[in-house]
Amino acid sequence: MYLKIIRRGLYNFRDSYLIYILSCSFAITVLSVLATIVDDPSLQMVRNWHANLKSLMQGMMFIFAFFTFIYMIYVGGFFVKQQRQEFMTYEKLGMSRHIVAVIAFIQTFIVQIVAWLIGMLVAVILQKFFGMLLVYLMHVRMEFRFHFSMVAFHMMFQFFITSALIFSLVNALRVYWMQRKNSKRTRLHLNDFCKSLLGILGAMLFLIGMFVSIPLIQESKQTNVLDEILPGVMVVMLLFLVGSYLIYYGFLPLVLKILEKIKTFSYRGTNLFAYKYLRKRLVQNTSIIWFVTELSALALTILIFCFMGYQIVHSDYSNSYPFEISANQNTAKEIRNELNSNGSKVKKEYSSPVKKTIGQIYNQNTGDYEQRLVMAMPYSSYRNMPKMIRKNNPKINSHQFLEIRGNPQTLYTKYRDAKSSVIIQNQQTINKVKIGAFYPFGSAMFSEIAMVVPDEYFAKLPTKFSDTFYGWDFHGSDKLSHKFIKKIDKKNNPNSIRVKVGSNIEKSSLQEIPNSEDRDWHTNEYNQVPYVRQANARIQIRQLTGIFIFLIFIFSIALLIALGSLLTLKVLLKDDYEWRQLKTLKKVGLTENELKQIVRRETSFLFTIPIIFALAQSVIAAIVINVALKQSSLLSFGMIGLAYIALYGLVGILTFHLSWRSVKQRIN
Amino acid sequence: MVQIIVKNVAKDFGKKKNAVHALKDISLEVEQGEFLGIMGPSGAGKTTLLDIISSNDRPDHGQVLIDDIDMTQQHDRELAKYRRRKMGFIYQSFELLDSLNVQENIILPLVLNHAPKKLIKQRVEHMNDLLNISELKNRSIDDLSLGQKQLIAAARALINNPEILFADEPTGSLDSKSATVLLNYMQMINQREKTTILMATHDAFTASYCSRVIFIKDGSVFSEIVNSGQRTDFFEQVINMQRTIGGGSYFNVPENN
Repeated sequence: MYLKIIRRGLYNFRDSYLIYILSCSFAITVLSVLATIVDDPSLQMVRNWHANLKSLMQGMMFIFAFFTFIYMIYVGGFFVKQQRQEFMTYEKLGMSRHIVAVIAFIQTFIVQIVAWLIGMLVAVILQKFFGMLLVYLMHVRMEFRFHFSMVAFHMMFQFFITSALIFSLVNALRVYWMQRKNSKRTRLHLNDFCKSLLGILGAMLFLIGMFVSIPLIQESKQTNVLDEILPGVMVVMLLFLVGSYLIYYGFLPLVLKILEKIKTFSYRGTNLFAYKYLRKRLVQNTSIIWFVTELSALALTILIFCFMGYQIVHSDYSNSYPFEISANQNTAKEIRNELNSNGSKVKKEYSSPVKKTIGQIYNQNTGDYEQRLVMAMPYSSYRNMPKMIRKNNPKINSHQFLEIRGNPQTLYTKYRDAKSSVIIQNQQTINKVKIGAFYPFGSAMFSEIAMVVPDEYFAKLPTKFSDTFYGWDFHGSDKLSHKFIKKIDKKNNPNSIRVKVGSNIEKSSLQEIPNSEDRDWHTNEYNQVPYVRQANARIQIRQLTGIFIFLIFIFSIALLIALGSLLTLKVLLKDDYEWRQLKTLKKVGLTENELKQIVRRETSFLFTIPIIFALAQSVIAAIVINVALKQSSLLSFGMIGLAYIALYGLVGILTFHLSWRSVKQRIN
Repeated sequence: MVQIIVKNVAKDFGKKKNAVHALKDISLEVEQGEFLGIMGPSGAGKTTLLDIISSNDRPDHGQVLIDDIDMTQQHDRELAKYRRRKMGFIYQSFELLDSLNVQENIILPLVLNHAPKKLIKQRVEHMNDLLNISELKNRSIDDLSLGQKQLIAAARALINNPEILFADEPTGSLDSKSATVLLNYMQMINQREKTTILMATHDAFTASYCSRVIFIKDGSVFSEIVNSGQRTDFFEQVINMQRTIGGGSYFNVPENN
């Protein structure tokens, strides 16, 4: 008898349970895959895996496990709520509260077993695929072998037993409390007028948030310091958070109510019923829609940040290593000889004379002039550099000056003419310089500030420290052996130069200082590396970006599934009253198409609102990115926003079909 | 003039061993403006027959012709439109929408038909006068008594001036006073508006308002009696027929009554 009740309960909500089970299974699959990948023997061979990648993966796994747990426990409660009437009837018929709670416990436990079994089974099937994807994204040349260790299995089994018992127990307690006679909760019930007032206030707060964010965007273009706009950003976030909730709570219901009252709209087809129905569904699901909106906005923001972060890492990498190898005159000869002998296919060799001198440069952060080492190179050599390097800096002609700074904040500036002049020792003041970010031979080759100067200026520049920088591009890789790298590392210690600051720039001087590994570094001491090689960093960058893309991909999909299924379940799980209303409409004479239109409107409404408000709120991310990274995030924002709309649209379409299917089944 | 022709209609529910023959080869004709009662014990097939005639359900075999249109051959979409234009429905459970107020419930069929506002206003006023429900128009459905709810359901069924009114146990939830009020209204509508009414009931008093009553037993037409004009005589005839069909106690009417 009890088993029959449990079976019936599961069968009646089969569509909704299926969605819940599938979304839980996906989360469990991802969790299991992450757990197995962390200890995978193939990946243990990857360089840097033990250094930082493994701990990163482990950290992400626990974050994912936490959110999975929250999702499963929260959404699991929907079904208990849905069966409230049924459980109350059992109690009325004489079944003890304990028995009803046990029924809920077993029902939940069965669902959990199914979800975990499917999840783990899919994990076993997909583990190799996920591993191969990770290895591919990390650009590691190795064969990823299927491995499901007993340690991982044991851990997942423990997770399964613990979570299934906890979720079942929580649902049993929910049902037990639900049946208590005096369990009436005291809730604040506001009348429609108060709700509408709060809704109008919410709309105003949201609009104020939007208006405040416009000057913030403007300000973000002017300032380099995040602290200056952070209070503004926090205020806008607060306005959006409170505003959007109040809009859902009072404003949108008010708009629907007004539409109901305007007979031109409401006395038209199904509108008479639809506006009221939508309003009721909105009021019922206010918290969920708000929750989905805010999480979607957060997800969008994180995605935009991650995407921008990836672009910056990539850009920074290109800036540090524009050539496969760059070297100064001390190592260039050796490297050239080795390249000739090892059969490397050199595409082109670049070179430029460099002079080291002292410059008085304006520091935007301190607001003062500071004496710094300046490494100058002539315009003619700069012009011969690959276009890829020059296109990242502002254009200059043969009479103009270009200052290239190592400050990361200026790396992505929209290059502006400097407001202050630059004074070079023993030279006339340069009144106007353009500021760039892309170092011709890589940022590592230059210390602090590089300047591209007119050829005549360069020729007249007196210095006792001059050098020549070289850069090589190849067809394929440089083929330098590990042994050779070790040899030049041993032979060529980096040189160091100190700027001895005098009372004025003319009295300052440059001094070469002996290098020793244990010496203390002071301000105005600069290191000159003998060479930089792209291959050394490439592996690390590729591994790190690969693992980030992998994790972001998985997290985004999981978040999308979680939020989408939350909305889908809310659309599907209608209470008896709502089913009765739809059935009545059918009896009154509504055609299937008209009923379908009501379901379509409901689904579109519940899906479109979070999309609109989430996109509006994630504009904050764009503001912060503009300031913090000094790069326009419009393109990333647009791309991620469109992807979000497309994916949520797909989930919405799927939900509509599922919802219509279940409505059709129930009303016929 | 014959408005409805039911030809050899059969309908089964369930499959194979569990199949229940709800209707077995039923045929009947209904004149335009007739008030036809369909009687029978619970499970006899009254509601199924009403659903099939009103095109809410399709028969497994047979034909239903209304105004010479074969309803069994029409597309669902066409049938829905036809129902909305030409038919009205009164149900035992009223089937009112709690989210709409009284007036909105009444005008729903017209609004669904995209009727002009002027016509809606005219028809609402007409129904208010006809059924004397003017003071209820702004009330919520939850605030109405059962009798008032059934009157509102009747008003909704009649608002678009249907040619045929289907009533499935319309007095089932009502006390005798409310039931009498409703039946008087239905009779008045039948006589004044010349609306054809098909009413399923198992109550002899309700059936006594009809001009003709057919009796169904086990999915087949068992018998029929025609009202000669005297309601008390007709009531007696109905009671006697009930006794014949079900041995008296079947319809809660004792044998010695």
